[in-house]
Amino acid sequence: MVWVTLKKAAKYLFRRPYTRMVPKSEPPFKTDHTRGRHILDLNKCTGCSLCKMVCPANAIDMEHIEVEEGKYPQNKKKIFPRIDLHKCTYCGLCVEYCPFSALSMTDVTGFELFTTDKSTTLKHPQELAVPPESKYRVTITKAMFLGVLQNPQVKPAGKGGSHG
Amino acid sequence: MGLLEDFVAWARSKSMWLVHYCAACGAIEFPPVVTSVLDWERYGYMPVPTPRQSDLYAGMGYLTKKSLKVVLRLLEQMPNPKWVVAGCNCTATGGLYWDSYATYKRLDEFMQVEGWVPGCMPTSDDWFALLTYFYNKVKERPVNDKGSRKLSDAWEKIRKWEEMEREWAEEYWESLKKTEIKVNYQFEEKFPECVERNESLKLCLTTVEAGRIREALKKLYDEGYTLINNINTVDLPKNGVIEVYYIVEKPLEGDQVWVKTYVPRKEAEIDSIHDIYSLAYYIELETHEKMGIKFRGHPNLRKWILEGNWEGPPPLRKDVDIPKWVIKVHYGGYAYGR
Amino acid sequence: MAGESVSKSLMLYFGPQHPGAPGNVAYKLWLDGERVIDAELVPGFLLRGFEMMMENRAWEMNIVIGYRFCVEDPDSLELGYAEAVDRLLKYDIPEKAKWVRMIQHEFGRIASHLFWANHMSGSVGLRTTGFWSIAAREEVLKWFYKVVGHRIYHSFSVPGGIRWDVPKDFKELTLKTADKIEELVKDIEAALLKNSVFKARTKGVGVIKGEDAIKLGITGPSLRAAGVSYDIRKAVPYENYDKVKFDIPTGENGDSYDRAVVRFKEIHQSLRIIRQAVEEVKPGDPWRIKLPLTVPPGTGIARVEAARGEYMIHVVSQGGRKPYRVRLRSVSLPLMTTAIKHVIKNEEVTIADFPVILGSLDPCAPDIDR
Repeated sequence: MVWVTLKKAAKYLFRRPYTRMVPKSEPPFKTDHTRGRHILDLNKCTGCSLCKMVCPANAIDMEHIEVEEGKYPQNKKKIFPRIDLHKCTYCGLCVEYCPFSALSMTDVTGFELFTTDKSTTLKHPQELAVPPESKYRVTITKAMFLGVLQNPQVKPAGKGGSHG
Repeated sequence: MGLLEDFVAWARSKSMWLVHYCAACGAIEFPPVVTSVLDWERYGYMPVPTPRQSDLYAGMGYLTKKSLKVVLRLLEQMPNPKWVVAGCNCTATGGLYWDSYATYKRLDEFMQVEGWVPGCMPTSDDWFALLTYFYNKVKERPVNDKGSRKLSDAWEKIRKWEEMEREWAEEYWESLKKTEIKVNYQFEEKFPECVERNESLKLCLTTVEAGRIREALKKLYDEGYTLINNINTVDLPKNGVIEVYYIVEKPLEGDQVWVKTYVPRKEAEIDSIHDIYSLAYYIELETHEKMGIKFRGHPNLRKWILEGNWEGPPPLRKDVDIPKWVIKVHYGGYAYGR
Repeated sequence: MAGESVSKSLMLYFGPQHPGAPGNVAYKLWLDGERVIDAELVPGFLLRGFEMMMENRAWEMNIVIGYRFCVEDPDSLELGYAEAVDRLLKYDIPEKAKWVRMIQHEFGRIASHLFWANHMSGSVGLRTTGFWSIAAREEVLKWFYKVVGHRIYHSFSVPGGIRWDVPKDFKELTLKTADKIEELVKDIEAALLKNSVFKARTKGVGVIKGEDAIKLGITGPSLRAAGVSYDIRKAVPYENYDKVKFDIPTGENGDSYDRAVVRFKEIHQSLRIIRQAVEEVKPGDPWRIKLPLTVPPGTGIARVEAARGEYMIHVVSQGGRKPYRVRLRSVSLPLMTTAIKHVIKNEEVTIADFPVILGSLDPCAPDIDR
């Protein structure tokens, strides 16, 4: 009977609306692990280019920046990553593979990054180093990938799935 | 007339209708926007099935070459003023699929774009930055503003790129014909015995000469392996062959047999099995266009998935360097560009 | 081709821009009056060339790309790729990772089935339950957002385990989400499956019998609705599926209605698996193995029961940083080609029934093109 559907629907008539009133009275939904735009610590980056090598979207390239003498001594060639936030897929591999914990991610997503001029989403190293102006949280850090690791346990012969 | 114009602008901003064309993966975040979760009707937005009643086109994700042609035709049908917005990264720069042979990389190469939502993919909430921007900005536009327009050379660009692909394909087949390819591949027929067994996955690998593939699969079909899982191919230019695996399966038990055979790269031809396994008809079509293997006896061997997407040589062959081509043609030689 | 033999018929394009089409995909329909005589799939609107792109990326980068070819059900593919590489490396991953992967896999299945429920409700004209299913799916996506950091594409199950440790309140969060979903799903079930309009549109429509279904190449819920109780999770158990209790729901008639019922029953079974698995996730246990940068030559195969049927991922390595060849099985291919042709041949399908039958098979359009 159609009646069943109506009866069930009537139940929801008296409930609080499910709708989130974004952005009128609520901010967009973010969590502790939201993967958004990156921040770069210029004092830690050595310019090793590992982030560029693991980026599946080719969003990262190394850029030479002009700085005063004696600044960032750890980075001899003075090359730092520039990230194309309009190419990035926010997977976090660059954070995971960065050996010096220079890169992290924040919860700044498309809501804050919305633009009418797409050239603004190509972030140069200095822009990445400055925290975004709006309120943000650092969500993904290198520390998350360092926790409890187990040494490789090779499966007993015969159990693995391989054809020669 | 100021009052009337204000009224038109106000009415326009409160009734933005989006053409319902879910072109790519970004569309998966739209149901929450449309339904009660975020309810965009608060702002007067609504999806409509027909382009003739719509004001807005949202690019959601990658632009395959075939879809882009549909989008351009949709845009031609939409009445003025029409607006184009773009979500996701693939519409802006090519995104994660930067090296794909089947997508165009930038939407604004073909039409004017009003706003961009970065993200892969932007969450439902992210779209509201764009929606509220539109809600507020459309009011301020003059009434005779026509919005986003299709660029005049859009079709011309597509034609030019397709011509380049066609030339490459001709070149590829020409050079394959000229070069001498030696077949040095060790192969011994073992069917019906298993060469290798894998108990945990219930797999059995067996080998059979290419000439006897129909016979072998017919026998397996009669033994109860009635479900065809897939046809796999591995291109080995060093050995001058393409390995072909036929995977058939016995439901309920879950046993799989992998029948391995090979064809020479130069004259890659093998008998079709579409009359034994009906699904093979379609898998063979795909293998034909992507790997360049000819299936003898297939009733309608043609371009199928690649039709309208790729005119070049078979993209899965190892001597076809697609990334290099894409970087040269679409990124002007700079792999990390946009 | 039927189009040529029936000269009076009308050829009509159905899709790609059509609300009844299951995504960006088109059909050429040959019509005699209202009746559909033949249907021919026109794919390619969603082609990206995954196999080629994966061959161009290193092993760890493929974690991010491998699952994207079916946007409605990415988690099964994610698990499939991780499993295939685990097998290639012959690694035994930590127990905790296995359980979390299973929970992710099952939540992915639930999200996929609920998304289908939205589409199905829409195609029979019952928008109400569609809205509820999206609300229930939103709960799953929120769970993913909290644990994994993304809503749709997760990149969380990786070769060697899971990406990072689960949050401290993982158990409560998971159980709470499961309860919320269950409550909503029960309402959707009652409102949709008992609705007489829905029954009239689906019962006895789009019948595919068990034996035929196998020959057409169908797997997954559509096969189980035809009465064949074949599930890779039971037949060839992976992860820890041999250690949890669950049933395989099957139908009898193999019609559209049975397919709907089976999917809803599967949601309940998935919740049952999640509730068992979450008990085994212990805080403080190791969750990942460090993987080498290069991979030895060999072959890795994974067979995974996805929301639509059996996915098979075949990776070939010749050593080095990148896979030599990746081959993925398309589960939706039989649903959109052989199955729909079989139905059209055997019964009188009108143009109004076509989207409903197609919807009940739940094909995922991007998965055909890849």
